[in-house]
Amino acid sequence: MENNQQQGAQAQSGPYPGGAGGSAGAGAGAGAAPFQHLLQQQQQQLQMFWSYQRQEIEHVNDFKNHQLPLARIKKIMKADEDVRMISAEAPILFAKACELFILELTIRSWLHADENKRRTLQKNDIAAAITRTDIFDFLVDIVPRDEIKDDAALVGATASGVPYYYPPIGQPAGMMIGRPAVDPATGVYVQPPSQAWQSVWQSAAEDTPYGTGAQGNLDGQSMEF
Amino acid sequence: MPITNVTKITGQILPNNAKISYDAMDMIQQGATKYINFVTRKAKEQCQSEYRKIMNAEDLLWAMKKLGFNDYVEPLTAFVQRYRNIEGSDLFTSHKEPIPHIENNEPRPNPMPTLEILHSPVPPPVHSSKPYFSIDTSHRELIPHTENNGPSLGLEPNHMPTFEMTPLSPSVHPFESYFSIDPDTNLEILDPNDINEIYLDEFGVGCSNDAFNNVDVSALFKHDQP
Repeated sequence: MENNQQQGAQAQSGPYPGGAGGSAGAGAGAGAAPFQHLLQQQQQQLQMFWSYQRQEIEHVNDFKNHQLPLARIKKIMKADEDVRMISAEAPILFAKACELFILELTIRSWLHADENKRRTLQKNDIAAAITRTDIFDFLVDIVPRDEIKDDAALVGATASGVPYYYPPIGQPAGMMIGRPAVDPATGVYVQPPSQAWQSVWQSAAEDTPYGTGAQGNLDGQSMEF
Repeated sequence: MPITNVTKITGQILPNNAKISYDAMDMIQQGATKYINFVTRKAKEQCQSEYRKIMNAEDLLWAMKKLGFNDYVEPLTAFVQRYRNIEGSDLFTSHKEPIPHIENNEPRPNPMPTLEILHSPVPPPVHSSKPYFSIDTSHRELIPHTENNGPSLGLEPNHMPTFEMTPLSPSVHPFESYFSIDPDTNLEILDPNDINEIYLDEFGVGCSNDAFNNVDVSALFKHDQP
């Protein structure tokens, strides 16, 4: 998992501030350190988000004023012809689940926009968040092909990002370059960044054959190395 | 999912100076809909494996864990437990909660009770018309016979009280009701009734039963002799 299961004692109310974007380094070695720092900041923000959500749910009292309409959720659930009867709790649970989903997708998209020094969330930011996150693989259908190219182009603008974001493109040359880059990262950096890179490599492997099979676990990936 | 709801949720998490393009908002909206379909499809497998027809909260939580949304399971489990503790108590204290449950049950059999009022025929009007007809008939046929006997017997003063006493006699009513049933029989039985009338006129007896008992043949002969 990209997010470490740690009980964060920090509580923060209100919107999360965007992390500092990675700066362009002169060389690969110089660029690696700022990127590592960026990843750590992003993971900390996500951990703070989940910790805040847990505390907020403990104090929720109003279950009737939902952010999302229950009738609409029920209609979407029943779009599957096999689903005929739904308990009263299911749409209410889904209303909260969708809220968490939208919040997480928005945060991850904002982190990408912040990397590029932009204050407006754009389509390619959403696309980048989807391609970077394993659990969002089911959303690949809504990501246009040109958006992935734009994402690569934007990432290419950052010197520190070039060697690390070639694998998602799915080119054989990119994969060849990506693997040597990951190995030094595993040997040099701490565990969290290595887990992130394994995730990126996994998504790259899945994108190459254009198949959306079952997700392999991280342990399997680490065993392969 | 409505775009206004998505906008409201994204506004909670983004900094104040941040903005979202319409294309980005549309992608998030589509993602939320696909998320519901994705989890629902997985939860359906759990229902079918256990041969259950109703999808509940546990099925959704199981599906999220299977699909890798592990961070969601813990807060949502606490959310469901808190919902049951709070809404469960409200269910017994207030009547607002049963309404959503009713909405979940789509099949609503609504039998319409139909009341049929049957108007039975009124016997009294039909029954009352017959006696009236029979009384009128008996009076018309009795008058000629009385007139014929009057001048021959010379009992005109006795004729008037006898004619008036006939309707008042309770024993005569059964005959009238019998006449109303069979018109033909009415004509046949009328003759013996006339004989009774003759005896009443002659002897001045008010009761038909006494008339038969007081029949005296010798009296008739006395009137014939002078």
